[in-house]
Amino acid sequence: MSSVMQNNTYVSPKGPWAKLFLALFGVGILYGSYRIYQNATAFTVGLDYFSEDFQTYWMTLLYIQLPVLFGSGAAIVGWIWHTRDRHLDKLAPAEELRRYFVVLAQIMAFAVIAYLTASPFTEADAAWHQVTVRDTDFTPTHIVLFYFAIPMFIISGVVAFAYARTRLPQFANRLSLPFAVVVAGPIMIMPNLGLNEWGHTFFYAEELFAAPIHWGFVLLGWATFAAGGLVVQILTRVVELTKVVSVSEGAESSRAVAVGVSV
Amino acid sequence: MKAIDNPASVSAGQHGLSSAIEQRKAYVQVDLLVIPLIVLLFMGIFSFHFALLVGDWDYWVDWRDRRWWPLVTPLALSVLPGVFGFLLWDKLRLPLGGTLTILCLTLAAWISRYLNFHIFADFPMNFVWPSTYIGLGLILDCMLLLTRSFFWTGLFGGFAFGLLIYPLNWSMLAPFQVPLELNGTMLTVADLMGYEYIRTAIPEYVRIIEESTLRTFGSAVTPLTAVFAGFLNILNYWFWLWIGYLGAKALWIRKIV
Amino acid sequence: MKFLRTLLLPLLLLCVTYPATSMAHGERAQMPQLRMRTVHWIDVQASTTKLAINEIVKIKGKFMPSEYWPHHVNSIEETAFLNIGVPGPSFVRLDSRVNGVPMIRSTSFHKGEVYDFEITLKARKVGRYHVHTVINVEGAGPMIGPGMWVEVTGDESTFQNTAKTLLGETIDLETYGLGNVMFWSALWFAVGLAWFVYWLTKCPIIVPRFKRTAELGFEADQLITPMDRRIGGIFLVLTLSLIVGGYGYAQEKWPITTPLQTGRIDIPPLDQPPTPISIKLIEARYRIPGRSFRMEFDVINGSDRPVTIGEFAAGNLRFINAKVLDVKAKDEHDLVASDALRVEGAPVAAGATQRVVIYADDAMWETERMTTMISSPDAVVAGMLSFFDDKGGRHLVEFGGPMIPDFGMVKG
Repeated sequence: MSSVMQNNTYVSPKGPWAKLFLALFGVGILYGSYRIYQNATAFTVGLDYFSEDFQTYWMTLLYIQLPVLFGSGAAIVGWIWHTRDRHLDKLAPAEELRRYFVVLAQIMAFAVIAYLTASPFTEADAAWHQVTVRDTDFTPTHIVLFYFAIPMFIISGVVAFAYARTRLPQFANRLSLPFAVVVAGPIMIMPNLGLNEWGHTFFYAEELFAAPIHWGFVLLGWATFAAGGLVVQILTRVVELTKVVSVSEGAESSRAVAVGVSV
Repeated sequence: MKAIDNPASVSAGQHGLSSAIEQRKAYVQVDLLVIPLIVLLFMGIFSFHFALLVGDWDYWVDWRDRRWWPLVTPLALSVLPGVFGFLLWDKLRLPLGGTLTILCLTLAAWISRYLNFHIFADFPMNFVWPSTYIGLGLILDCMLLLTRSFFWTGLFGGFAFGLLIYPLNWSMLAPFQVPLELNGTMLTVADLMGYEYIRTAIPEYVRIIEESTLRTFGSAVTPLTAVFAGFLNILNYWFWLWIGYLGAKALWIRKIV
Repeated sequence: MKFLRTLLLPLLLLCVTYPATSMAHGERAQMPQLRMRTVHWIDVQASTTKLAINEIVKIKGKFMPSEYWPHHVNSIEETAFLNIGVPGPSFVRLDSRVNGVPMIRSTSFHKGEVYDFEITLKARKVGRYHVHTVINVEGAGPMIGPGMWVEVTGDESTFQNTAKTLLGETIDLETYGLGNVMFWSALWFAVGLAWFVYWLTKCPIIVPRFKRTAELGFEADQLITPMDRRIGGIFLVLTLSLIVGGYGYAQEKWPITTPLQTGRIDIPPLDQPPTPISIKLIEARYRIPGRSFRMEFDVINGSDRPVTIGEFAAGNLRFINAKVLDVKAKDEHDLVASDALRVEGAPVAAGATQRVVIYADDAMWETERMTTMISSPDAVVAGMLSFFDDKGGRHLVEFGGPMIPDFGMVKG
């Protein structure tokens, strides 16, 4: 690695900022465009599933986005797996630290998607269903939320997980339970749709958003509470990788930085 | 499933950063990545959690009653301060769990209420504004900082958290409970807005709000609810701290079972 | 990115070019039996179909909860609310009445009873809306009435909606209290943010504090400095003071408030003579290939005039006997088939009992998805017949009973 210096010391790598901003820009464009589209067409051609307009303007989207998202998710994860590091035992610490920054950047992208999905797009669904008559399981807010935003959420989580699994020794040799739980939560939201739609169809007629029928989603959202364990796992290793080994006066001053307070 | 708390260090030896300056650079990189990440996750998770457990009480001003809103809200609201408050204090000694999570919720709520309920669904903003809870988070965090004890924080801070929701919001809510008359019926301003601004799928009867009982002694409703909410919230906060403790465990397993 | 552009650009173009008309709806997704056996809407009309912002449209008519209300569906005799089906508050509801009683809150309606209703709406948002009447029934959902196209024009910024409080203050409901809400929200946000920023001033905080906390173990409280504690004390006092101060301020400024108002409304029944006509359904067959509903009744005419059937209505679909009535569709989505009812065996003479057969044949059965009645687990239907005497007097009679589908597979 270029960052490795003599005597096994290295300078700090940087986070993949350019790629991260590019990815976030892409996510912003995608979610933003979808939002504009939703705003413009939901109340005009999105109110009646059985109308031709609905089939044209909304169901077409569903039919496009599901295979595209599934295909691209599988392709990205396949690529991550295919290009996995087969010599993790020889991984230089500087590179390992860089990869930790990469995985944190991926989790950041996951967090951005989590926010967009769980807040503006979820509450768009709330606002929509409280002012219109629910007709089928496919409404303009469901098509965006459940069949676009949540698959994106799943993909972003799985990508970070797969990256760590294939490129970071501690995540490759063992399985991080908190990381698995954090990623499994969004995945389980998809099958939980079964409960939601079954309930709305057969016994739940009102659109009270805090209704028990929605609590399955909450429970799965709580999977992110395991993020604490993941943070501890990552930081524990980052602490090891950010030790200063030079015997210069830097070692002393590093302690003051490490404490972060005046002692 | 076998849990392993201390995985063997993958690489030991003399490897390390070359100087304290480089170390600081690395630390800054972590901060730059982790702090926004935490903020965004809190905004997403808290917003989702709160929407699906409190939702309508926070969406509509004609749902904020004296009996159910101040009881349901703190129970759902202290979950993330408990869970992430444990993480931030136990692992980083940062008393931020209450304020930061609620700050994130508030920001997300204003963005969403504006975009979804105002722009998308066309309700006036004064009908769908989110309540404020930041003061409650501050109480928890300050208590934790001053007592450095989860027990005392739960006992006093948790209680205050439930107790003070109503007075904290009263400065914003009071004008909406001024009475007026519509077609021979007395209503509050909030009721009138709920009636006039049509919600096709949220008919009036869906509101879960106070209905009087023969034993409701007039104005005792609010203080009684506040004290009960405070009591429940002590236990609630402790419980979620414990969940935070479980969530912060760095568990490793051999394979997916 | 190129792919995204290709995917999104046409969609965004569509957003811009698509006309802003709003269909209200959802009724076609409901099971036909439920649409036929819940609420019958009668003579529903809008006072105008084109109005400007701030102008009034009145929707009025009658409705009758069905005697054949399905037992497995929560009853309208429990809790119900008269509502309007429009996408969002495009109108504000100034008044709504049933039998003259204001319907501000929820109520209950009796099966078989005919109710008059009138809803007064004021236009708030520009657009073309399919306005439906709706009765929400607790646990059962929205019972959707017929829809009418109403077009709103004008300048939204001129919309006004004021109210006068019992304290004599005139308020603008579009903005009332918002400045106060934003002030307090911003203040609290600033205080919370200040607390966060205080801790951020210690950056880098994540790794150093994580490391130090782990090293110190039980002694990790050493990380908290005296300055931190002072700041903590200040913020705690500030927070409590702001809460108490804010509460006091509100008490001072709005000393008179009342709790949110709720409770049920009772509606006295209309004083109506009983209908002199009774009918008994002998058979109802729906022939799928012909989209034709054939019903056979025994009609007992207890009135002193001969009567015939002018209209058959079910699930908001109206089939008109053109020989008796001249009803034209009000707009392209008005579910009226002006000449789709064939009546055999009528008129029924005064005092007579007679077998009458009617045929309601129209593609609406298909387009409104009423044909899905054959896939219902409860194949019972209901409908409303309008009998007319030779002087134009009208008698509404509901009927109901099992429906047999005819798949066109059996000859004869």
